[in-house]
Amino acid sequence: MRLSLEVAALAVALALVPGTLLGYALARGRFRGRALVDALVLLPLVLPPSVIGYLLLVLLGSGGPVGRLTGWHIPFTFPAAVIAATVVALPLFAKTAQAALSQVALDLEELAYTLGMSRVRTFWKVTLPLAWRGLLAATVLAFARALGEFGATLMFAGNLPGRTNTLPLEIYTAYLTGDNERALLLVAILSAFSLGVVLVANRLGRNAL
Amino acid sequence: MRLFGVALLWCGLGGATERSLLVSAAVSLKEPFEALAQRFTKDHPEIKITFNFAASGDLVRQIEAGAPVDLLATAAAEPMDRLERAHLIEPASRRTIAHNRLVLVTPRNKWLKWAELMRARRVAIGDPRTVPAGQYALELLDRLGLRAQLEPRLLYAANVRVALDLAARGEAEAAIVYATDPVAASGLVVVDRAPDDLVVSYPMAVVSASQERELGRAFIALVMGPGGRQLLRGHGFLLP
Repeated sequence: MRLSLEVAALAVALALVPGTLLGYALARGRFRGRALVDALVLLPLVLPPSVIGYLLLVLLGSGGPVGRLTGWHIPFTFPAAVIAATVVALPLFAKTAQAALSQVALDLEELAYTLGMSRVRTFWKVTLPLAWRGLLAATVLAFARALGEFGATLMFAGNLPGRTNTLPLEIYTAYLTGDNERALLLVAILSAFSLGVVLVANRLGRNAL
Repeated sequence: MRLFGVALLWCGLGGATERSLLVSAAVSLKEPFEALAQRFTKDHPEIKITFNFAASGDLVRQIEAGAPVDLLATAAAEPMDRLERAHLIEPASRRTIAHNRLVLVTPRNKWLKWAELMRARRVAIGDPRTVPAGQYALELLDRLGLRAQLEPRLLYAANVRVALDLAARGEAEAAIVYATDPVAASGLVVVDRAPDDLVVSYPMAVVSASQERELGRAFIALVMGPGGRQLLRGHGFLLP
């Protein structure tokens, strides 16, 4: 449980800044290739987790381009579990943030510009404070997704006791080894927790409008 | 909707005319079993053989959960014993079809013996919770007195072929696999062998709930016959 919470919390922390920037770019930006960026952001949500896990293993593996360049051994470690969770949580965060940020009235941002505020300052002082509830909802949803990550973690981070065996993987192991009581207990915990998360996210999302 | 109806009809007809055999087998049996299936369908052209290759522990769990499997071959006696006690396989059909041996494999440039395993940063084995090869590997490490030291460096793989793949990809400096696994094809070399008395046995039996028990027994007879024995030996298995 603790391992799962650590992985999910770190994944969300890693997704926060790029997710917000991506969400803002998609909400406000009118740049070439916007549709492509939008599609690429969505891709990890649509792709099967096994595809993501395999790609991570090939790209970030010891024999892959990153592994060879840096000499790092990422797969089957705690950081690998965090990376897998980040990749699947980021799109959910970015899309929810995009929705929240586009709710902020353009007039207010333009008003800030005419009053001489820079774009960056406007983003910090006007846009973010107005969208904070939606961003919080994005954080909560991304956390739930990261906590529930299974497929990519199994392939890229393995299922190593005490290192990468997050709750969803523990349920899988408990089932495979015939420990149905443990499986059921973990399923109950994860279901209750996720329900709570979604309720909170919905509440935040509704009030944001 | 009409297309759906046609598809349904087609499936129904197909099911009526084509008989099939679903064989769950330890993944280490993949190559000889696929070759055997070709021979079997030569004699029985109306029969379609489908394989379900996985770790023996996973296969046994599926049968306990009621998977519609006709035949089972595992890489250890213990999971088969468990099914036999639960009356899920036909005891009379049970045969030991082959033996195997564990080996230590490494990439070409990292030559290690058992005694030097502590130099490896990571060693891949099958997940001992479901993979017999992993259980044998732990038993072997126990005997070598390396288990306690090496345990934090072990990478557990979903089955023995994944353990092989992890060494091939460079995620592990060594892997403990079967002598029959496609080591050379993975760009690896066998650097050491397990002692002779650590023998792996493959039992095979007909699943009690199968609708094709007669065919299942015929398949086992083929495996035990001269053709099957020759094929298994050709793939490096030891014969009972």
